[in-house]
Amino acid sequence: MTAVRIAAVGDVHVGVDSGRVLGRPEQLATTADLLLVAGDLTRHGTPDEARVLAEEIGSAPVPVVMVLGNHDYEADAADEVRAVFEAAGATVLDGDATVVEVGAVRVGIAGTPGFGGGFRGASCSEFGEPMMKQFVRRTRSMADALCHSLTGLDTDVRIAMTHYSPIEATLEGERLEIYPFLGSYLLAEAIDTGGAHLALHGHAHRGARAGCTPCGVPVRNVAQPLIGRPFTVLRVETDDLEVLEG
Amino acid sequence: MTHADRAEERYLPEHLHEALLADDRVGEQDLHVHADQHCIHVTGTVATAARRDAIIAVVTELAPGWEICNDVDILHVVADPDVEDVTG
Repeated sequence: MTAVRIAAVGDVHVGVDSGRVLGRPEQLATTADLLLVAGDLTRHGTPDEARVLAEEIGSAPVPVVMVLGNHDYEADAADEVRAVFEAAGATVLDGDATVVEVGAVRVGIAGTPGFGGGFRGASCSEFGEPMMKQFVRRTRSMADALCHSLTGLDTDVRIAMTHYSPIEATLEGERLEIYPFLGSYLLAEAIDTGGAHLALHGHAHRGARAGCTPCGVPVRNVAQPLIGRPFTVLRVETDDLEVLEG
Repeated sequence: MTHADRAEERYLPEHLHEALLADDRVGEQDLHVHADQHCIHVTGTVATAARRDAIIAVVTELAPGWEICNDVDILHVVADPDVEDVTG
């Protein structure tokens, strides 16, 4: 039976004063085939902060794929931040997808930061003030890009990575009042329509680790404050596409 | 059934909710849509009987073949205002 080992973490919030946040490189090398980082890579989204994490990314012994999170937009320097990580060898997804070959297994990852809006039966609508419409349209455009990217992946394994959550279940523990700012069902719809085998997100530090979409896609919240370790490893059995916790 | 077909069915209530809000014949936000087997249940409150009736038309157009259970109430406003004494 073949298994792909996916190391995943989000919300490392690296500042210029941070030390290593991804553990020892040999840990990654021995436990994982690739590393996915689900946004909030930096504390305030400055290129200086990005360079701190980029040094660690540059020495990672496995391919690294990332999305940005809301913190990474804070300094209005998201393009520079993205460029720093790409120069270090990472792939930074923004509505697009990449393919990583792990032995004979082709792993496709589609990613977007995503955005908020709320969940089924209690979500924001494109109605009323222009700002509210803009809010929902941003989420919808990101979800559409995620769906398009997933659908285009002709790979053995398809993974969706977002910063914001696609489901409510992995937010349990957070205050109900802030759910609309933590994620959107539109992301789950994209994940279900695109036929992902696994979805990862961060953003919800006090949430729950595991849930699934309405169509049954496993979802894991990998926010570092929640998992309490450098990364978690998810093993995807490619014969029956079963997701096992590492 | 493809991933897309399955998702389309699962997310039908959300699409109908958005459509009811966007449609000029209804345009109401206080509506809740649930799908159960082949029946679509709509609950909530709207301001007029015409808007309530239009719900069936909108849902039928977007989800033909589904049975529709329209349990939407019409807002009832009593004639006399109430009075509350507010003391600090």
